[in-house]
Amino acid sequence: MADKINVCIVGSGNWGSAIAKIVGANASALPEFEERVTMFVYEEMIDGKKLTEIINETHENVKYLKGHKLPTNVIAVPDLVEAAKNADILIFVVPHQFIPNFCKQLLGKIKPNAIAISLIKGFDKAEGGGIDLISHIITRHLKIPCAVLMGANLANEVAEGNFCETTIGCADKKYGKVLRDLFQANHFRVVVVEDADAVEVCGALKNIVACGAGFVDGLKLGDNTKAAVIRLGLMEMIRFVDVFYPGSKLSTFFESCGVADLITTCYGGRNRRVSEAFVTSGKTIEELEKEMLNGQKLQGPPTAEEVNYMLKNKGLEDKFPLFTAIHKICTNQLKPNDLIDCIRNHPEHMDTTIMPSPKL
Amino acid sequence: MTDRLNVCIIGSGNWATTIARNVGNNVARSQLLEPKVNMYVYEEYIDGRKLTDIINTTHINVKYMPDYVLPSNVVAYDDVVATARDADILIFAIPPTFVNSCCKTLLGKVKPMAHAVSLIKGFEHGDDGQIILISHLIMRQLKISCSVLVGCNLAHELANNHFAEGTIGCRDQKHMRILHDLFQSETFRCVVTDDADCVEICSTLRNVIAFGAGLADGMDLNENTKASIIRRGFLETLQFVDVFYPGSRLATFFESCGLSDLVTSCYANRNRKLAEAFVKTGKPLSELEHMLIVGHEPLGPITAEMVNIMLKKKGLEEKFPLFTVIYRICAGIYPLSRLLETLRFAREDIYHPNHIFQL
Repeated sequence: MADKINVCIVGSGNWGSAIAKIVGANASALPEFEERVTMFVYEEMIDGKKLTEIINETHENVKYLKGHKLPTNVIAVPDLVEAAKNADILIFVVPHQFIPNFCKQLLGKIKPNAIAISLIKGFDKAEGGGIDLISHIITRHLKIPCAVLMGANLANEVAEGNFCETTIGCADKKYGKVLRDLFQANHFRVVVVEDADAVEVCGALKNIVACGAGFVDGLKLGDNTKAAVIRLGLMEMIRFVDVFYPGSKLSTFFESCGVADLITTCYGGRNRRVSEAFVTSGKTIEELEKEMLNGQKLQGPPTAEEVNYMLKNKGLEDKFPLFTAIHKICTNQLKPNDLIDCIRNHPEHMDTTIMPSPKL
Repeated sequence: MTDRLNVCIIGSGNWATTIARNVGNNVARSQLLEPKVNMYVYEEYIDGRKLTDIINTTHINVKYMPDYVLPSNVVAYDDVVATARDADILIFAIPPTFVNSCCKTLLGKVKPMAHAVSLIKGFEHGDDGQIILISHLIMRQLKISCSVLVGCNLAHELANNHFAEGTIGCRDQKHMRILHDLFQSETFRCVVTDDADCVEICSTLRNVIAFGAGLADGMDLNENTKASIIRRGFLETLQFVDVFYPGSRLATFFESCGLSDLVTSCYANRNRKLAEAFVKTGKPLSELEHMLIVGHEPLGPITAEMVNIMLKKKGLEEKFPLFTVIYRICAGIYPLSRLLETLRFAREDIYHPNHIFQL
């Protein structure tokens, strides 16, 4: 195919700008991509000047990624449809609540054989309750396939060029290579798996576990207890994926999106930090969000709530004692102190007969 | 059945004393176990009194766990043969370097059908440079089967009744239930698997990975980098077990002996601290090793060297880029900077648990 692949980045926040550095560099270096990469930027005025103009002149997103130069072939565009209409690959990296609206604007205006990839962490509430994955929403609205990219990645560290790994979940094998080429960099290692749902669900569920790890830190129970909570959390993540997204592979949990992301989140993330403060300060989650996060919302507690809704529907609460306890603690139905009592008799511990499991 | 099983503990350090509390309490409640537990204590004089006498009168191991009271049915002996003679279950919790001599003393003096359980961290050096697992050593020397209990590497946390998990790798089907009930408590939850080799080797290899994580900490690399070291270490552990201890189960790596111990080690373990100091101070490892209590925790660098010998023999160094680079950094063959370079270029397709495990 002689036609080069057009790429558009929908979003220009911290993560969007960091990834634009990599994507822009790859698009200009690799022959299969069209050099010009469009980036949809929500127009704002900064000191009397339009943000898109600042980006296109100085190649710096002064609002969200100060101090880093974007490649000059990344062009800021204030109009969503204009930015996306020629794209063969649409990279979605906006707060998840904007997705339905953005999709409505784009419907019918994009190439019919375009593909999407979502870098959005989080999920939407499904109608009636439960989790609706962002990639599913995009596919449903735009009628195009949507892959996901998740992993132990902090935007600023990626922008700095610090080494990290990431996972692309792409259900359709034929897009795997092009997506890897687009995102792979010397300091940004990409592994592609086909298990897109599991990759995305891991990104949401890890925040619940991180709340549990934060409670343990707040209760000062020590490293063994924290490790036990992380492990039981992983086991519940695996079981959850098995029940609600059947057909996934265990190996996906060994990728960056699984163990690695879980561990960093449980030691470094803000869900952990706020949950620790929740125990030590006795304040509510909302109060702490105001104090510690400038009013930004934590992802752990709402995820725990939706997950709990799904579990309750299937009568599975007692098979997921950790997720259930964390939800009840976040909503003040239980005290943080009760956490350990809830996992003492975890299904993982009750089975003294050996489960036949595949051999290596 | 009128014959109750007799349990003894060989060792009296802090891990042995901690587990003696669980064992003492559990046998007292059991219908199947003899209520008295013998504990072999290496005799020492504390302020002019024998340690065994102190333990048997005050029920406190003043030397190793002065703040905790042992159940009164745990009885200290200074003679290892007298301790173990009638035992059906022998729990070994002594430093790895003592295993050989202890087994020699016991050979022929224990019940022929007795079952051993090793709580020992570490390994023995084989003549050919290979790692010999402690449970294998016990089996070879005493001619009885030997299971392992791994997990909870911080004894004081368990002693303080903080929630923790352990994994029992059981080599004898009929002891599964009994070992589970023997060690478990409200705060120490045990999972039993039959994958004993895998359980034991995981607890050894994690010291290499913890050392690698410590190198990253010393170089002030970020959290994401550390996470990728842990992840790759986990994958190489899987691969190592697959090559050297075939037939293990993937699920075993998800038990506390696998994932949780690895995580704890990479954030809290002394090997991590040792590596961090190695980078920050620039001193040779030999000057820093006193940071680890010798005989208690296997040293990451020594383990890395043993692992390297095993890999080299099979020509597999390149397939284990992380283990290899950690060894070479310890040995001074590579500069520190090679660690990151290795992560960057390590091939992803060399091994994958991808030979498709459907959930």
